[in-house]
Amino acid sequence: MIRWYYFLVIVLVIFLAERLLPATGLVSISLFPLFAIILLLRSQNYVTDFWRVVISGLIFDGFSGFGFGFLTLIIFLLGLTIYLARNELAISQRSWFSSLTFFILFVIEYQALFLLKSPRHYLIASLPAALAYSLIFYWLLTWVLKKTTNDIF
Amino acid sequence: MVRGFYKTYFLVSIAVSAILLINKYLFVDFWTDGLYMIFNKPGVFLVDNLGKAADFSAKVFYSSFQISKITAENEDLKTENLKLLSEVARLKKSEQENDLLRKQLTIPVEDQRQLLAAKVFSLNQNSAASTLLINKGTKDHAEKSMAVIAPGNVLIGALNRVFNDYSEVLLLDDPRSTASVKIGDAGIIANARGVGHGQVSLELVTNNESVSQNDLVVTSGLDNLPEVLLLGKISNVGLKGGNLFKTVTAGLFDYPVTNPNLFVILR
Repeated sequence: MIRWYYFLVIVLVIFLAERLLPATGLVSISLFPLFAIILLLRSQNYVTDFWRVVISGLIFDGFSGFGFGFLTLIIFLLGLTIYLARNELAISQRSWFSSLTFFILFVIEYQALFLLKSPRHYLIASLPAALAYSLIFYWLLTWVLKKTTNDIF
Repeated sequence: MVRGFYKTYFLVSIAVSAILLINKYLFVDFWTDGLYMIFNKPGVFLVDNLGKAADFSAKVFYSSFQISKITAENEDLKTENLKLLSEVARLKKSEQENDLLRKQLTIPVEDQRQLLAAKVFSLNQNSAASTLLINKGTKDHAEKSMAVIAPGNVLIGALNRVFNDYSEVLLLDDPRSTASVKIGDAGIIANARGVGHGQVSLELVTNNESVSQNDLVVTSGLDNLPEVLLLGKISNVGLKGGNLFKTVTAGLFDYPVTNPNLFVILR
């Protein structure tokens, strides 16, 4: 399980990164939901990590660009589907390759939910860049979480 | 673990639903107002210095590697500046004649635009949304759909959600954003819809209408937005066989938004 102070630092860094990256013109995806997906996929104490993610999500929700509550609802849906996938498909026991595959699937789920109010072609057009950023973030965060938790990655 | 998770899920859902309902109906926007109040000053500091850092690093980078390009651009800018100066002189003369005619015919003068200065304290850009937050709200007479411009009359977007002391600006490249625009000297009317990454798609340009790259795009004034505000230039014109309309995209002038000082045009 990730210790609370490491969790806080990572969330703070992600918050600052989300405020700074738009100025570079390189942003293609929100970072906090990616962090939530990676953490919940690999967490050994799902319940604790889930409510931490939801509480942090309430702060990011105010800066999502949508009405308050929209991002929180997406986090809830993601949390439930990841939990069901972990229980039914035992994905936490599988190889790093299948974990990566499930990560990509959950990123697509998150993008699809986030872009519910947008035209469909926009989802298809934005997916390649979003997935590319997600993969970079996945390797970066997995490395950080290996150093800061006692979970097996 | 299974029962523990569902119990937690249920309890957290109740707690979050309570916060959302209180925020919506009881103490309206208390959560967002509180968040923005905490982040306002550090956010303004961050965006202010980010803009300066971006300008500085751009100067250092480009001056080191693209000297000849800068020289050529400088010459182009000087020529364009001279053309614009003569245009300004011509327009001033027209304005004087216009004033004189108005007085002769006793037609009232058009209201001057009232501007409200605002500071940006958060840029929010991701795959689905392109917005920013400014530190002016209903207390400063800001209202939904008011235009937000950068210095130089460059349109940035329009107010989307307005709180007491803060407002959310929907940027032009947000997929939810639309604006009625005019293209080029011919003044072809089109509908600009955001497609992300500083681009807008110009819809309803028929195959008969002539548009080309680098044509200027400005607001038409046919919707809520004031007219003749700069948007950008056309970056791509495509024509698919059998389609009634052309595929036109324009790049926005002010992208990414690094200027922390914006203005709201009050009605």
